Amino acid sequence: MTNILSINNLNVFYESFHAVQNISLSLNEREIVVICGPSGSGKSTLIRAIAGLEKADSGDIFINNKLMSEKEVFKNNIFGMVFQQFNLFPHLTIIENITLPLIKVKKINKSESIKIAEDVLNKVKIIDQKDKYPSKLSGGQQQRCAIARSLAMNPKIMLFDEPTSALDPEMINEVLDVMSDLASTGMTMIIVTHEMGFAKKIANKIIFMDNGEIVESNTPENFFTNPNKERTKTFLNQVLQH
Amino acid sequence: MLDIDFMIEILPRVLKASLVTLEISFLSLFFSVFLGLIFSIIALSSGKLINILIRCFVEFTRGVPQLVQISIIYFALPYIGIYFDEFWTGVVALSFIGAGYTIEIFRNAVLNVDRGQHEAGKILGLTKYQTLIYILYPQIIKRSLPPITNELINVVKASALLSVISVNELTKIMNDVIFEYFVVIEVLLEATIMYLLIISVLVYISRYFEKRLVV
Repeated sequence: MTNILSINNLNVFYESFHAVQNISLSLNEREIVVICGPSGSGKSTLIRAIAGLEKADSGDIFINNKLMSEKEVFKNNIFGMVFQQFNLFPHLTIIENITLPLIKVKKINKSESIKIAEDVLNKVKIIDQKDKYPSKLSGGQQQRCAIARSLAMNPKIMLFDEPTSALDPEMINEVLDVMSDLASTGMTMIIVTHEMGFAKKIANKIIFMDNGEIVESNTPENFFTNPNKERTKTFLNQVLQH
Repeated sequence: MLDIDFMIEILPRVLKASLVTLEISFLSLFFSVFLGLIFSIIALSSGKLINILIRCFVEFTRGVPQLVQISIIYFALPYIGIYFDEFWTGVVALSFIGAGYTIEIFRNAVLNVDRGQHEAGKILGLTKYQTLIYILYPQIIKRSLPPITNELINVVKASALLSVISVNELTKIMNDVIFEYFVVIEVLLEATIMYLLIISVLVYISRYFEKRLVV
């Protein structure tokens, strides 16, 4: 197994608030890590700092054992990111949302980029919506389009920041299904989510965060049936009560 | 009673002057928006120094009385070898005055676009400049139109100040006619109507585009 991402002693402060505290984490190719924890625990800040959207105050992020500049990370599409609020471009159609970055960043010509876009839209099963504007689609469809847009850029690692938190309950599964499909193709993924059932099924490793720190990092089996820490048990009791 | 015959007699002069006002306004509006777009893009994609320079320009055009700005361009710039005739002095002055506002309107509109749009552009690998051009600006045009139109109305009204440097625009001709014939009300009435007409057309065009735009 080759190491694809390692994070050493990452710290993020908001003014004097220590949002991410000394976090170290390492990820192998094809591995799927789920990060969970109560709101305000720093999990979103952590995944955003990994993506380069949040400035880390200290710590190193190695990709394939190399330290890369922020600019290189963005330019080479190391990370694809799926946001809670989808963040599709409202003035572009679904297919244009995907082709624009292909044309402008990857410098792929228009007809080739349309082929790539149609291919990823097929994978997330919304090819029939390709000429509509995002506002005409349901939340679940929009999120699948956002996943397709990220995939089209061929990233090394996919990051998901609470991808189903803004969705109506009946649309959550269609997005989780797409993510499961993606996992089965061998994509390396880091997922921040509250969907514990999904986490149990898909993850190779579950990380539980609280107050900006990693409380527990465990296999799904042990995490749910035999957690090491008292804090983890309390959290699981709270979320799995019903 | 209004002297209708006199009003008809002076109408060609008033219309001709209105045309000059319209010409100056149109050119100034065009350059205001053009400069506003260019300088706001430069401000948003550049470092501190460039931003301070643009800030100075904006503060200057907004802080110095318009009449003083016109005088600077007409009387002071020739000393450093830059010479414009009366008409182009007017266009340059009004364009700068307008740009001072349009730069800020565009800049603030971009900064107010949801942070997620900036971030999506960044993570997909688009450069700052590409994100501005392809993602953010297309989204702010519609919402910028009403504030831009308000500022542009001020630009049209400021064109009246050009009478002091003898541009033959509406206000100058209005004053000329008053002093030639010692008739006031009829001329004032015609000039007022012409200004309102020009501004109504401007507002109408702006609303038309606002309705047509999708985002």
